Amino acid sequence: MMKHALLTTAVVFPLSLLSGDGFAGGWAQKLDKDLRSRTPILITIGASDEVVQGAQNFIQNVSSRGLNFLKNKQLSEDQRKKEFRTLLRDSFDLKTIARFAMGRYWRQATDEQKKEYMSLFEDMVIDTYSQRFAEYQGQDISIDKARAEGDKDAIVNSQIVSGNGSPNVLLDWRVRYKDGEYRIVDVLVEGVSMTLTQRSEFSSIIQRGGGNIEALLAKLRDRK
Amino acid sequence: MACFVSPSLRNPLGILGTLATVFLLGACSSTQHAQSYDVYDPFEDANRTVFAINDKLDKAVAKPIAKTYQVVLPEPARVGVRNVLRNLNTPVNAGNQLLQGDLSGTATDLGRALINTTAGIGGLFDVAGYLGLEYEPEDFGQTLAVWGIDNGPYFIIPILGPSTLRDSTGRLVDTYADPLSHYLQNTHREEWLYTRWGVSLVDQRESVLDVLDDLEASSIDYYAVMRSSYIQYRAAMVRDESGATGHVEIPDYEDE
Repeated sequence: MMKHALLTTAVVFPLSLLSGDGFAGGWAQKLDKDLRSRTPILITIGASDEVVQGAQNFIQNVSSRGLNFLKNKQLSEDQRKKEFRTLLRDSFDLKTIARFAMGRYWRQATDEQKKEYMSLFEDMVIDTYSQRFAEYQGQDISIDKARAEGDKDAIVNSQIVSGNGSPNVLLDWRVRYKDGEYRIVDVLVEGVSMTLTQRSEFSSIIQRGGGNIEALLAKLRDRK
Repeated sequence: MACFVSPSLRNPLGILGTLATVFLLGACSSTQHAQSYDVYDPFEDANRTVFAINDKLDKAVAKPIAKTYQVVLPEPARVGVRNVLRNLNTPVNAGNQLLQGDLSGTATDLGRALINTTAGIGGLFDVAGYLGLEYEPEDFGQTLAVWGIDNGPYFIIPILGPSTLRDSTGRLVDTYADPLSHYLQNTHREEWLYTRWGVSLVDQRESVLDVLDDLEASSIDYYAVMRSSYIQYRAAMVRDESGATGHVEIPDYEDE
């Protein structure tokens, strides 16, 4: 394996320089990948191809809906929030995200606390992103590809294309197919999971508040 | 995320000391707990204090400098500066690719340096990137991760910010090992060394101006958000691939 790669690099690298195409690493990388992919044989049971394709189409839809919404400068602040709330409810599995974000503390919460938390969580998401709508400067989203993740999720890879020369930002969507519907359960920016980061923040707030969920609820109420 | 910690490059004991730390790191890496999503942060209270001081310093000094830099220099010029810095860092970057057993990555880096130094006019233009030989940041912290060494405790370095025992060890090794720094020191051109160091800090702060503003504005506990983001971001860099989700498993709660 090592020998192969060495050979690949030693031969392909100078050769491709001579031929002037300059794709030394590209060639070597491809060959290296070929060699590697032949060794392990993995059998995985994952979401079907159909579901993966469906997830990709779903993200295509959501992102064009979102971009249209951002491009519409006629909306008032309130209309904007209202539209965003609809978009959010249509495309995200907020219940799953909110519950994951609370982690192990969920079990300690009373029904009343859970209910309040859910509504505060949705408001928080809406407020946070509403503040950023003004920063929109005509960026576009290009959907690249999708693959299965586990038996009910798909990961859709996309990029934010700025158009002004600054580098693209990697944006990955984790989409879950359940009861005949697609819903986003996570968004990853350059490999950083928003859902996990949220969980990390919330558990820190609760821990520092003496392990009491009220500490988090109080902070969320304060945001208003 | 800068790469320099005021080095005394001519001290061989320093290198030995760093190597010793590497082995110690290796020795204690198996005791880490990996199953939970919690970041191992045993010095959290001290870290929060340093984080707060850093934040004040950042807002008073680093951020205004980075903002000025962004306003004064147009985007293409800033990209040129970044390209030169990356080109100068080739020995460290390529060396780490090699240490990680990534031979095609090493070849890519050497090809990039060759093309960008010549056709790219001393590294100003990323011609190689345009040709499909894309830049991939590597450092010794990532190399240690590839060798199976865990993060160890998370901590905040004064002025420089978030790090872990593994990543700061990596930073030291990169600094000591950089042949260009040795060359500049040996030929008594320390001013170039410090210029490069300074420019690199400004460039790195500028590149995350918007990201950090957003992160702070949207968080309740900025420290916790930064900590989680840093660890995840570094893990994504180690994986070297886009679109991988790490080990986040979001359950289906339906049945409860």
